[in-house]
Amino acid sequence: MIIRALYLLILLGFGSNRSFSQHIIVDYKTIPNGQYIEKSDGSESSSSKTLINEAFELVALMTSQLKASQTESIFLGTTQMNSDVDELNFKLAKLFVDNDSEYKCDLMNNSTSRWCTVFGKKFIINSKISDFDWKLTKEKKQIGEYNCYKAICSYEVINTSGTFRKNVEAWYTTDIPYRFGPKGYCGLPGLILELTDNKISYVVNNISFKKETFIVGALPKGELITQKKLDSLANKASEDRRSKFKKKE
Amino acid sequence: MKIKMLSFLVTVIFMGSLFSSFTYGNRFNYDHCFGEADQVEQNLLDQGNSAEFAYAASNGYLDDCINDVDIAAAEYFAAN
Repeated sequence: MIIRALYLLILLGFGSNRSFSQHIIVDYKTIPNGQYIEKSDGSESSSSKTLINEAFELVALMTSQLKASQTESIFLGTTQMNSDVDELNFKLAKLFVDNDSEYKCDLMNNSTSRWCTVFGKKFIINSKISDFDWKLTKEKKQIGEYNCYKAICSYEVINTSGTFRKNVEAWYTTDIPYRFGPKGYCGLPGLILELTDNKISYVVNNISFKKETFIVGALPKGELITQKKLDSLANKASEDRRSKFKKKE
Repeated sequence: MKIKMLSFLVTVIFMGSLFSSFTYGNRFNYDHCFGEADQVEQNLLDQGNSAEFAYAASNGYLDDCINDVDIAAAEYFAAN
């Protein structure tokens, strides 16, 4: 009887962190994959390519955090200021990982939202989780102590240079049944421990299981907008800047 | 002879100040900032990034560049 009770106690003790956790906090580090733009070729834009590549290297200094309950999550940048590196490159690196935005996922409402500041104004972009169109594969690998499976999806970017298809690769584990991940990516059967998007990998650094209830709540206030509309505003702002510059010439 | 030397000296000083003002005139304007910001934006668009991201990055560059020009100009005029 005593042995049975002890066995039960040990079992509960081991499982308590995960089984009874009400929410999790996941810290991610970011890894830049290679150079962002192929090596400068001496053309007119080579100095700007060098600048972009130098800033891209600093992506390695960026950190972010996911807080998730069983139904909702919030993801935001946690990078601290770094006075040892070039200020401009650091600012651009933060832009690369969208470190100043906040992402919310709501499984119950099939919605994922991004809160961001552009042109000094605050915006919220809503989309559907089902739009991710994840393809689950049988490919697996071990990340830390967790068995992970690979899932892929893609999205389209249309800009003035053309139409581009970007592939996203996620490694999730069903061992941690929180269906969330970095940058608003969610809806997989488990927690995303590694995600690669636009040459940047978000890799889990630490996971804490918390017993307290966690309510994500609303994102900060912002004007509702679509990505398409935001891009067209950016194009307009860019044209205005260019025409002002030409007038001066 | 003395007059020739004097006129040569005056010419040299005049040309020197003309060159100097031309050089600093170029250094203390923002033209190169706008040109480079455009290049940053175009490179990011060519890599398939959103217009929002490309504009934000190029604007970040532009702000930094304009700030550098202002500091350089302030330092020059404080010293001269």
